Amino acid sequence: MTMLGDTQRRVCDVLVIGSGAAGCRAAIEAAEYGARVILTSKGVFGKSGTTNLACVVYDAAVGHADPRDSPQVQFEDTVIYGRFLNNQDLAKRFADEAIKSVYDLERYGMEWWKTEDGRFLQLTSPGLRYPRGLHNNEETGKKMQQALVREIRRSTRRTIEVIEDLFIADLVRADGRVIGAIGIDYKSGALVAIEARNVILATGGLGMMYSVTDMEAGATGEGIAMAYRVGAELVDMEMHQFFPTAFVHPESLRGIIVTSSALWVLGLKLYNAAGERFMEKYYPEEKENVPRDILSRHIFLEIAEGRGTEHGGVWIDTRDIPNFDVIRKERPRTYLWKDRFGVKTDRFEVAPTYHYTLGGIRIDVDGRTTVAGLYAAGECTGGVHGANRLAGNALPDCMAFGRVAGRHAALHPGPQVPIDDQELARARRRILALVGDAVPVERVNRRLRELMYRHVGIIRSGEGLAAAREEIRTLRHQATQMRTPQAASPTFGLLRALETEAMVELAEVIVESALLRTESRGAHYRTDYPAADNVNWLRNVVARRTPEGPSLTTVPVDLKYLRAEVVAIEAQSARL
Amino acid sequence: MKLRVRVFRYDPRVDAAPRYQVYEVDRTGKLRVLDVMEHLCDEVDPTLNYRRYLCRDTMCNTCFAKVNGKQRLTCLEKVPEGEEMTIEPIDGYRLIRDLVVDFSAPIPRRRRLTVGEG
Repeated sequence: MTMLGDTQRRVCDVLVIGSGAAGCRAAIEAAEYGARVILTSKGVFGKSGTTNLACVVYDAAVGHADPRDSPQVQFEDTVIYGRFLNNQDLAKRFADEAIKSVYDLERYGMEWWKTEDGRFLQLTSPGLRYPRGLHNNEETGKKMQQALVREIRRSTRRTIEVIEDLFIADLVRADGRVIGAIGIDYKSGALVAIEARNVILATGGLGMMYSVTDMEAGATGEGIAMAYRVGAELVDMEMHQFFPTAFVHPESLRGIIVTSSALWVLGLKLYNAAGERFMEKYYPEEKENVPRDILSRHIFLEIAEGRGTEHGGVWIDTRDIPNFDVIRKERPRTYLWKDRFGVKTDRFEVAPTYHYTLGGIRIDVDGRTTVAGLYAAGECTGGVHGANRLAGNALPDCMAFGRVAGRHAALHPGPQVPIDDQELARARRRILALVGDAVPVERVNRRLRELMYRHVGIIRSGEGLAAAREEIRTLRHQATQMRTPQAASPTFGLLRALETEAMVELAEVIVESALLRTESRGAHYRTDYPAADNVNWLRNVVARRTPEGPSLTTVPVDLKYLRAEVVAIEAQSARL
Repeated sequence: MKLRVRVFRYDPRVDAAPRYQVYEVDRTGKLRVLDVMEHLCDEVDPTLNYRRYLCRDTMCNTCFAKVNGKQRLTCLEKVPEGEEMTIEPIDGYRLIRDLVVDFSAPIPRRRRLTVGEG
């Protein structure tokens, strides 16, 4: 039996690719407006995707903890923390949608932690003017995902068909418009063509392009690459957020984060191998209570400059956090369960881990990409969070843009265009080109991920980026030769080969974008340009694909709602 | 130190019967059964089917497998002592291939591992 010998065809109004929070929300909204929806998941529906892993906070300015909070304040916090690189229209839309999304989730059955008199409990974290983070302990993302899944499975009025274990390999375009997608049905082994009047990408971030990450193992970025391949613009691809504190030892736990940012406020302390509380040197007042990008950078430098621990981390000390025992018990996943791997949770080693993809597919306030018929929502998009994301802003982003994209896609149907047999044959050829006498995919995959962490991660330099550019050129060549071994049915090895292809292509965009941005801002830090340059670089880097590689342009950020604070930010940046 | 891993292999689309394949791996600093499985799939045998889109941190509850006959969440399970470890798919669900089961197709049984709301 040959691999991908069978073909299946499906038709729908709106195809949603990816079943995390953004995808589920988009599917619900599109169905609400009468569209027949197909929602695909490359893993187990409701279980794969990074949403499940989102630990604690969900920022929405309901103002229960402090009545002075409002969507305007959330918008301002988001833009200030994003170092003014945010698309302010998107950030505003996001902040305006956040409150509603809380009640949407409640309607779907999500339980939020509340006070005795029924108000939402809201936590604070670095960068928030007022406590804003609603939550359900360390399982906020998981509870949210479960609520969304329940809502989708409710049989009463939804017209959503879920197809799980379906790996979408390519978007299909005709006359400048996306008309559907082609994928591999892992369960049946068939090649599947799905025709759709509109397609929404909700495929998440690309953490798996880095050797140390806390993301779900499917967060490989091929959704972003698919959009790029059909001509969609990508924005801010040099921006990647690292979470400062993740386990480094034992090796099995490397990259898994220590929740949550609230601990930094509560009195967590960091020490280098010599026992110095190094953050005191740089921030005598705030100490560890600084934004994520800054804390990540200092931890990384501490380790890079030889003051790290034996396993390449710094020490976290939780012993001075009041009531830490209570927190420990409430968060068994983070603390208690690590005991069985020998982690002492009063004092342990941590280092930064890849956490969030800030850049991505360029969208407008309705979730439209720059290609007709193609929408995007959630982490695969760029522009909402600018150069740095606040704790608690990721999940409401998924809900906000899932909703607006779902609605717009349902209300503005394109034509139903059949995917012809030639397209299917072309996709099959492209996929099967990766099958043959084994040339290990892992060689390319691993080398790329290590390269990205080393040269295109927390600390960058023109020299390191130029070296990365060279090596990626080699990897691109090697990627054309990698082969996964023949089997009767599709294997995860084949999917990994497809993902690796996409990763190499995106790596090129990331490196070129990082080379172009000759300043430091938020998550993008260059040792050769260590200061923010607000005169020349309040601009977004936009990438488009050409046969010769990525073509980059820059566009000025439109500071249409928030401008005055640029001055304040300049003062702050000068200290970084 | 070497570890022999006996893994259940079966593709119902083409194979007449299941078989066991034996892999030999080095015991490394990685401790969990999940780490061993990832290593096998990525580095040793890419035709081996084991669920890959996993959270790896006890949230998704889809990395279940039978480790020496006992159903375990492999991201929380340390590699057992001894020279050999047997890995099989969990019971109660339709088998797709090798160790991968279809959580949407439960087989009615008296006792079944609940994954739904884990």
